Amino acid sequence: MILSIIVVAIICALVAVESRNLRYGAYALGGVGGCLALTFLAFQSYFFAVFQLGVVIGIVYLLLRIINNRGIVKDEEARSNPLSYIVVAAFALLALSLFLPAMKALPTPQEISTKYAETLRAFDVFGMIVIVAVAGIALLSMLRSKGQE
Amino acid sequence: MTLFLPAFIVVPLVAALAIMFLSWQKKPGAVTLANVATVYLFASALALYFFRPFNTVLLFNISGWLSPGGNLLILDGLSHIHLLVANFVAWMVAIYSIDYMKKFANRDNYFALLLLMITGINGVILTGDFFTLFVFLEIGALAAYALVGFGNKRAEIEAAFKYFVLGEIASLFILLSIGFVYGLTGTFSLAQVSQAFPAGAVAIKNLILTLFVVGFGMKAALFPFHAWLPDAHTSSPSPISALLSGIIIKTLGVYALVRILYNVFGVTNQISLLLMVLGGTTVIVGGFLSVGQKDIKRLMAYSSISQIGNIIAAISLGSPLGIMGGIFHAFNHALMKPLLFLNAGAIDRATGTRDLRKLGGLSSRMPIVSAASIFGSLAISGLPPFNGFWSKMFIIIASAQAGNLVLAVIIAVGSILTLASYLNFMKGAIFGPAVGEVKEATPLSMLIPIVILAFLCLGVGLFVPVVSQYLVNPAVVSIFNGIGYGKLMGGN
Amino acid sequence: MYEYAGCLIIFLIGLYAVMVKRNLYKIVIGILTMEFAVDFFLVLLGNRKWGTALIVLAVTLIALALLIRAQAVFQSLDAEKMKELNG
Repeated sequence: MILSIIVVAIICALVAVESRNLRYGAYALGGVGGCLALTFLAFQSYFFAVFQLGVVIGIVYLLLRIINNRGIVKDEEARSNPLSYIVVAAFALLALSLFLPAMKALPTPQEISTKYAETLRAFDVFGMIVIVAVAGIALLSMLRSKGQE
Repeated sequence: MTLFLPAFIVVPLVAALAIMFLSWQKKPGAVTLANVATVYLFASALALYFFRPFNTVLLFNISGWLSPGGNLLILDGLSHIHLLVANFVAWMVAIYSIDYMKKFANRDNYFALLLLMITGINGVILTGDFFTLFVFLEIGALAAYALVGFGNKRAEIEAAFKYFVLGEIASLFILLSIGFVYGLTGTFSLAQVSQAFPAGAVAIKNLILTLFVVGFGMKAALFPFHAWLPDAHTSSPSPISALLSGIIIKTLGVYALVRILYNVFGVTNQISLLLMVLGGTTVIVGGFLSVGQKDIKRLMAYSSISQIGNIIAAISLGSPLGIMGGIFHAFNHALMKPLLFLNAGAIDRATGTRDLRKLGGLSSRMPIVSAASIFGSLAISGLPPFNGFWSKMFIIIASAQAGNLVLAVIIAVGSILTLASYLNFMKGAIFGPAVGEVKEATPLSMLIPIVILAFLCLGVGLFVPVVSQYLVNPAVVSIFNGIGYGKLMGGN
Repeated sequence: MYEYAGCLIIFLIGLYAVMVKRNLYKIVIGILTMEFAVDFFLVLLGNRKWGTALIVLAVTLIALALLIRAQAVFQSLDAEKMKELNG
């Protein structure tokens, strides 16, 4: 079941990255996040499924907002140099071949819920809120600043 | 005494929020608040040296309920030296920024971001938990991206964007590796992982360690992941360049990597070799690229890359002298490089340019800055009696002792390249006929940190035995303790 | 075990986007995809609570600030045009 969610997520990721129309790309990225929310559902963490969905909707909203308000070109431009493709392909093969044996050693998602306890503590959530605060302050400083006078 | 520890995170955080609040209310006081906070932090870091008995570890448990895998803040020799120098440089930067940032709009935001970056740095140094490490790493990184782009012009935004992309990729590699660690051990706690990691899983261990090396290597600007550093450290405001080059690449990069490699996993031979090779290459690459630079700050940025190579190569030797050389060099560079960047900022502020071709003969017109620049250049080139001389010498001797003559030669060549770059700097800006004009005098708040740092470079060089006994050796002991670190925590 | 491979594939898709694409916005999408991929990985491994959702949000905010400023300063989001600083 989780595997099918992941397959959907992979498709969404491909669309997000490749689509020429940036709006669909933003929605597709939302799709990836939505798959995450579905995964939470599959593990019966209902509150966090909703939370994740909320955050994802926020992210997609921000992405769309920037497309609309700043007149950002909606379509992709020319292709970049072929060398990057080769590098990425080589890296991908390398990564997959190295990671697959490592992944075999990991317990499968089905086993985990019984073995390991939830360990993300309140302190870490606090930390993440701080991170968002930093981002917010950074956003303020970059958007309102007139720079060096 | 352990109650002090959370303060290192809480104080800058609360100060930053207070600054934002004051700024929202249109009230002044941001500058004072920032400076008070940084003084307090440095004073606490220093004071803890008297409260922490020699070679012991201070622990603070955050989770009130002692859950298994409780979240710890840990202060041992290695953390302490980083904590001390990081908060000291942060204080110097805060003083320097009083006047330097007067010309920027949004100075309050700057101080808030600065304090948040300090929060991140202190958090990374003190944490005993992988996920918390990641959280504070991100706090520091996000603040750094914003501060690099603070000037909001073309060069700054470009630098900030590149730093952002590479920095985030680095963080993600690190988080990926943390995921593997968690999947295999079921805990995020550094101490518990070191106990619980399956012994036989060599291939996976290498994979995890490699991911960490790549991730933290990107944060530390190790070759071949150094590409973001020259732009980021050149285009940011000079006090931020000082903090980035002097502290962040060492704390978020080298310290975290060393902590994970040596204290949690126990470094393997392959990884040591990898670090040695990467470190040596970084020394040469950074050295060569810095020699031809005409922009003062860019020259210093490439030089930082070279010095990080020295530090990593030294630590990878694994011998007591090698590790000592590496840590000592990290400590020294954390004093030398901010000195140099603050000087560059002063020069830039006074003459309006950072281009060596347009500068010259500042020795007569900016005597204090010139003298300090000379101090800094000599120190980083490894000349006696400055601090850099000792640390470089230790590293070269350690390489020779380990039979690694190639590395010794590389470091020596790197030192020569460094000397050449800074001779260029001195010839182009300090000595020679007077070129260009000095538009304004350097304000006192900028001169004070410069003078203090300059005297420290000399002082540490003169008092090496004292520094090494109280500051460096405890750090070396911590690293040498290796996985014993975990047992010290009692697996909790 | 294949679930994890799926996470890795999403991660690689994002990495591909960051390395190959020229439009800054697409690069940001690539980074966000990578973030989601690692988030997935962690969630599958047991972090059934918050995941790293807030961190992704924070990264998005910074990325947006950078995009907006880049657009304003460079008048385009083409990575090729951002070659002011050499080296």
